[in-house]
Amino acid sequence: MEKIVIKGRGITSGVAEGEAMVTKEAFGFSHGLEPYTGRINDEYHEWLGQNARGKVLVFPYGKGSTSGGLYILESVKHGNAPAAVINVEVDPVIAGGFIMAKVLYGKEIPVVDRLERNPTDVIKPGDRVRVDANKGVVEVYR
Amino acid sequence: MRLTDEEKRMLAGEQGEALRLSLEVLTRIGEVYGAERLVSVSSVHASCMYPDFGAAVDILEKFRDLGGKFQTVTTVNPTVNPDNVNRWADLPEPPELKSASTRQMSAIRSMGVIPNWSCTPYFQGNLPRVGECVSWIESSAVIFANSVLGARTNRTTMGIDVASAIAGRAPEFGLLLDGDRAGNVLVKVEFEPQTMFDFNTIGYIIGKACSGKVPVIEGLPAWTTANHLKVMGAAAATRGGLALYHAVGITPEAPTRRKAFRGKSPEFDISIKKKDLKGALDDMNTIKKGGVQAVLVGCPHPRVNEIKELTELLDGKKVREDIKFCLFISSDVLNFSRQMGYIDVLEACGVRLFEGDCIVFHNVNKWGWKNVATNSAKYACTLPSGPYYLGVLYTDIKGCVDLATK
Repeated sequence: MEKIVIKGRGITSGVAEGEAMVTKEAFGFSHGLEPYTGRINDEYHEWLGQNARGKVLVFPYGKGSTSGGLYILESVKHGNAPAAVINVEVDPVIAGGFIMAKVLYGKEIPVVDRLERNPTDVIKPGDRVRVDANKGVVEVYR
Repeated sequence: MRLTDEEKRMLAGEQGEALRLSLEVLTRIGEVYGAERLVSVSSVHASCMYPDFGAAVDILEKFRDLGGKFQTVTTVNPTVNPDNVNRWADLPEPPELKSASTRQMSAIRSMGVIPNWSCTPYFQGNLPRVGECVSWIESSAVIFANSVLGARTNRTTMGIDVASAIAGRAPEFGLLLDGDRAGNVLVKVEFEPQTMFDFNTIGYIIGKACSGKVPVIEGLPAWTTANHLKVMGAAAATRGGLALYHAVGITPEAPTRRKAFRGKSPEFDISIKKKDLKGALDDMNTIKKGGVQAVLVGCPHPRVNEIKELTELLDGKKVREDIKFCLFISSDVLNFSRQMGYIDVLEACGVRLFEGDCIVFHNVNKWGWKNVATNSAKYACTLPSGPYYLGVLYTDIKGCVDLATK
């Protein structure tokens, strides 16, 4: 099994592992992730119809409404949140949502950005990915 | 981040759990954005967000239960007002929505909010001066504060607003600093807009062309009012995620083009001609088939002069039985308009008043609505998407009245 280690910046705290979903398109949680199922429901996104629950979401940037933070919290509340998030550069709405998830529900979901290599190039859909936001390290297994 | 001794004590929990948690949230956000310190904020505009999201109730109750009290002047966005739900029983809402909203209102009231329930807090006494740092939510209010007032706020998200209100502080980054406030795109308006509707449409065009930028707008007439800028900014923020623009000779950070760009050059420039309005109207008119079930007016919440205009247009007419004419309005404007006799006229015509409310919180699909008419570009941009999926006829206030009464 191949193992790739990439260093970056931890935004939240926590460590998690899961299967990668990867896109080069920006993704917004508001009107993008259906919090009661984990299903992606953004009609214009290539992830449409996939389920984000327990996955490691790899996408370049956030987009859309500031209510994205609330969609993140609601998906955490209902157990349908992703296992971890890897961005090229995290936006305030996504950072705020996952920081509040720990405050509100004690749930540590690692969010990491600014990796040495572009994660949307290195990580492939279906890769097993371990995300350590405490150290800001991503490990990819395939 | 460098914290003051007082902030360190707050973060250590010496001044209670609500302040500790607020400091934790604000410093974590600050660290993500490379803020070097927290700065005092003199005002907050907060939001209950969507009451049908349990998390939106949990946040407010969490801070309340920890003993949170707002240290700073804090106003709040509209929400589902249970009185409106009770009054318009033919537009039913599930009992859970009413009870969730009641819980939110109770939690935020007990922390000391000024209960203005409006997206126009700057018209209800939350009025920062040029250069004042604040922490606001609601995209149309954020762009107004930054651009028209020259105050400084980032686009705040859920929970951060409440933490700022309790701590009286915000992390210093982004639009709180000079650097991010420089214009980077030049917009030339090459005709004289005439009406509120023109400003609404211009805002849409700017938002579409300048997404994520800080436009510097030239060519707005000297008679442009704060209310014209209210609708223009709301449309630009909704269409393009803008949080700041400068209008040369009109807004405080743009006495000249040069000052608005802070010595930099525009990345690109666009011009808006009168004929461009038509294309924007075509974009926003999204009805595929069938008639209109409702007319929605009051986004952002209107001022008294807009109520006067609506009253004069509607006086002596009657809203059709098959159309719901909904007016979203803040309590202060409702009060003044009632004293001026407008509200009696509007109610006699069949207008439904939604005090302190906004359509976005309501389950419009359960009411069988397919298409609506509105004079608001913000509504026209918002309502075609989920969870509303409404077709929109975007037309001026006279068009709205004609359609509802013909």
